[in-house]
Amino acid sequence: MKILSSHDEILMLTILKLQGNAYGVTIRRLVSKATGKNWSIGAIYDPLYRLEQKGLVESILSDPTRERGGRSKRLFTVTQKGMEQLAAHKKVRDNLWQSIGEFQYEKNQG
Amino acid sequence: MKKTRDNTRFPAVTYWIFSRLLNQYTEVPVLGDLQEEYFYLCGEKGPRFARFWVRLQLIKSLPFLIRNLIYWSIIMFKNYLKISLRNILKQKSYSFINIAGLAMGIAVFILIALYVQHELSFDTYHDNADRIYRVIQEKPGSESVGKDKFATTPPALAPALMQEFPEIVSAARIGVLSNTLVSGNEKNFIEAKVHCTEPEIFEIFSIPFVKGDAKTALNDPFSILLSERTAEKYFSSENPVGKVLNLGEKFDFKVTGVFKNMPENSHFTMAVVIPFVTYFQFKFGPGALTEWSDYSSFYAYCLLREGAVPEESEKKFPVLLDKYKYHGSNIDRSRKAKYLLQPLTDIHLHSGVNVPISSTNSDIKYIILFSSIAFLILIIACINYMNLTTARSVQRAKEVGLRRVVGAKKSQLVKQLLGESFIFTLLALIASLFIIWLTLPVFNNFIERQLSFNPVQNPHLSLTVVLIILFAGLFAGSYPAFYISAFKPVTILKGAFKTSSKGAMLRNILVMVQFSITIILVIATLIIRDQLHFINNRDMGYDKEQAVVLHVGDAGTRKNFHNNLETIKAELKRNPGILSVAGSKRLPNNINFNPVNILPGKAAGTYTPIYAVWGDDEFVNLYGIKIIQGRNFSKDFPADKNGAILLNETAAKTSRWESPIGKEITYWGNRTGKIVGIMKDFHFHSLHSPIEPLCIYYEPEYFDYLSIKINAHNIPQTIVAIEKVIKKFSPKHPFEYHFFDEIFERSYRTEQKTGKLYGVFAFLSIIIACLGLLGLASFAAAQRTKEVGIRKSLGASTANITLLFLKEFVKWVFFANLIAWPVAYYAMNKWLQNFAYRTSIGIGTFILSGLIALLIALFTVAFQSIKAAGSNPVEALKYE
Repeated sequence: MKILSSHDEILMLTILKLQGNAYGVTIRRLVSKATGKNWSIGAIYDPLYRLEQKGLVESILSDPTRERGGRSKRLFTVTQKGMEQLAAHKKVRDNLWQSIGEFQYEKNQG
Repeated sequence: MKKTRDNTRFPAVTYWIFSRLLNQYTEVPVLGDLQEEYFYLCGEKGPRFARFWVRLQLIKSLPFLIRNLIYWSIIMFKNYLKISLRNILKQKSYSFINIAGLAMGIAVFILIALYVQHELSFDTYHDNADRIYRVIQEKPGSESVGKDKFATTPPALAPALMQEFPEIVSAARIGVLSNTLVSGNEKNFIEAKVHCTEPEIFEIFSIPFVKGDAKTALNDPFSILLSERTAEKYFSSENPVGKVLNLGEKFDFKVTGVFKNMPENSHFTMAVVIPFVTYFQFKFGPGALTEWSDYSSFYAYCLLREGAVPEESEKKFPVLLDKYKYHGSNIDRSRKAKYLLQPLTDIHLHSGVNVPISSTNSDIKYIILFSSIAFLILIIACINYMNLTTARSVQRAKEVGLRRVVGAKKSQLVKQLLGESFIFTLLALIASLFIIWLTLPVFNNFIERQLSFNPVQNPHLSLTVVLIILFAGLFAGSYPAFYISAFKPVTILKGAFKTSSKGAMLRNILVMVQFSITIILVIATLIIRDQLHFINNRDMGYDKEQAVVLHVGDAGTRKNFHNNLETIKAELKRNPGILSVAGSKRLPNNINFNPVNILPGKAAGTYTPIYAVWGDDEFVNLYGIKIIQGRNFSKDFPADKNGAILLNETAAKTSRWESPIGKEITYWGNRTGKIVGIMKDFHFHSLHSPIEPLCIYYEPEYFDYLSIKINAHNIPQTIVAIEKVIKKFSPKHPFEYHFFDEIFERSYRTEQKTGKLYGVFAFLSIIIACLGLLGLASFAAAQRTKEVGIRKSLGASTANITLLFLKEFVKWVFFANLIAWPVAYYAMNKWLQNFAYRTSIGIGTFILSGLIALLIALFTVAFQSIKAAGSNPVEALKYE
């Protein structure tokens, strides 16, 4: 199983959440809000492009709009492969968290 | 309208930076995102904040942008590389020819550059090289012996220098003993040179010691130092210190030190060193130590203090000389010798002196000549490369046009075509390294040096080459890249694309020049070979065959020969294979003493210079030198022993007498000799010089060479027999023999090498000219496809058209000949003037060279022409 980095996972989840409206601006806003930190343009696009190289996300250019000075948006979606990796990753994490969760609880209680 | 600051505009600078750093794929969406957010923020938080935010984004995203840039650049690079390589493989023969031509040019350039570098580096390895000077003297009136500067100085000079000149930190003298027999550890060798010098020499020059201490090793007058190589020669791997070597069968010396071999790039090297004072045990006697007269084998070197100016010291020489040498006598100032300080690093290339300490000096003239040739070859190779590339790109114009039509951006095409050009040049560089690796051994052999090329250790050269080649690649690639990509695609597809006629004329002239150079070189090579042939076949006036020569004049064993000449002769002649034996001071092909003024001249009281050598009674006959008047020296005339002389014809004619036989000449100060015979003139110098007056004194002792005429049968056996006899009379003499005809041939080694060199240059030139012509032919063929199409459709046959093309090129070769012939004639005539006896320059040579050039040209363009002529006219005209 390939390990997804934290950044990558967050970005992919964000894309899923945005459901078809995931492009630079929206992704950045959602991620910044969710993590509480302001992510820069570079911090968004860099991992996104690497994910695209790996085939975990794909993108298409939308039509140009006026507010963007006549430029198109690049809309991202998660691929099948990306979904599978996310799910696998989640499973692993859930497993790990489970054992820890119980443990920590008991520690904190006692 | 007043210009107001538009606060709501997107910050321009930041925008610009972003757009430059983003590549094609990311540029549009990212800039769009920025714009969108900017407007939003303008509304939400005001323009000032928005602008600040954008700038902040730039800074925060910098790592991303840069990484992106690098990543994409690599991808693009790999892509271009793939496409370029594919293109190269598609045009295999063209690529191969172009790369090979350029590689060859580079290889030749590097080889010559290595040689030039090496020559320029002589003596620079010494720590104090820039402060070391040799004292030389200028003696007016000595032009007759060559130059008026001498490298030799009186033996007493060096200590005087140290005493009188405070700015001279150290001075040392070297005396050179030639041809000394050195024996030790059961081995005997004749050392060509033994250097007698002082410990100060090791302060001046950087010659590290491997064993022993440089400061004290020469304290004992009978101590001896060896170079590592010499130590190994006598003592193999044993420690030589403390062991004994005998010099000249006279004195024993104890080894007190071993020094590192002096590098090859030194103007002189030492192998065996003994103390300076001991020189006078061998020659001249101890009194000469403080002499200020000029002997012929002492040299003085000195080390100046830091910051000292040599000219200042030179000004003080006349005072010094007056004090010590001339003792304030009233010799005319103009007849006094002038002493000069010659920088060490000048010696190898700018020596210009008589009696150099070693004969390995070269001349700056050659360095300049070869450097020019090297650059010329490289430039011509680059120009050919550019020509071929351009010609090729015209053929690819269609492909380029097509790509423009399909939407390739101009910058993309430019980059790609440039990239291809660079890859070519890179491949050429690699190929040239391979060529160098292959040819370096042969090259080293030819120039008699040991050069090696390590690009890493030779940054100057590597950088120069790389820069020149990159430049060539840039130049070559830029023409097709920029010029063709700029054309409207439609124009190209229509075939209306043509290059300027100016360029074409330039190219034609260039090829013609290349062919001219080729023809000149071919003519030169042929004429040099003619001259060598002439030299070999000319009757020199003496016989060269079947003569074995032994050098027996070494200090050490020569007395064994001198005292026993008659007995040795008798022993040798007992062998039926030996016909005659003669002893002489020099051999007939090279009597290299300076002439002496002892021959009474035509005008009363005058003397003319005459070359003189001494030999025994068999010398003249052994070498087949004819006596045309009088007789040879003979034992039948015992009076000959008191002094007998043979003159050559020229001497007889130049002398005062109508019939010189019976007259007397005084030589060696106080001896007189009677002229007993006149010899037919023979060439006792090389054919460079005319035959001058010569006399031979009868002197059956004091000879340096034993010449033995042998029978042509069973030569090896005869040699063995000779060795036996020699060993009997001089067991320690290292037996080494040469055949006289080999000695003769070797004396023309320079000319032979020159001939070979020109041959190689001619060959290279042919290849280069062919490449140039090929480029031209391809170009023309591509240009004229339409013309060919029209002609063919009008009924011309393939043969007609081929002839048409060929005629074009033959025209240029013809012009090349016109230019080449006069230049070659002039140059070769001048070269031949160096020889007093020379071959004549025949018209046949010129015609032959012209024909060779013609054939080569025809061969080169034939293929292209036939291909062009055979093309289908439909193909050419279908776009009309």
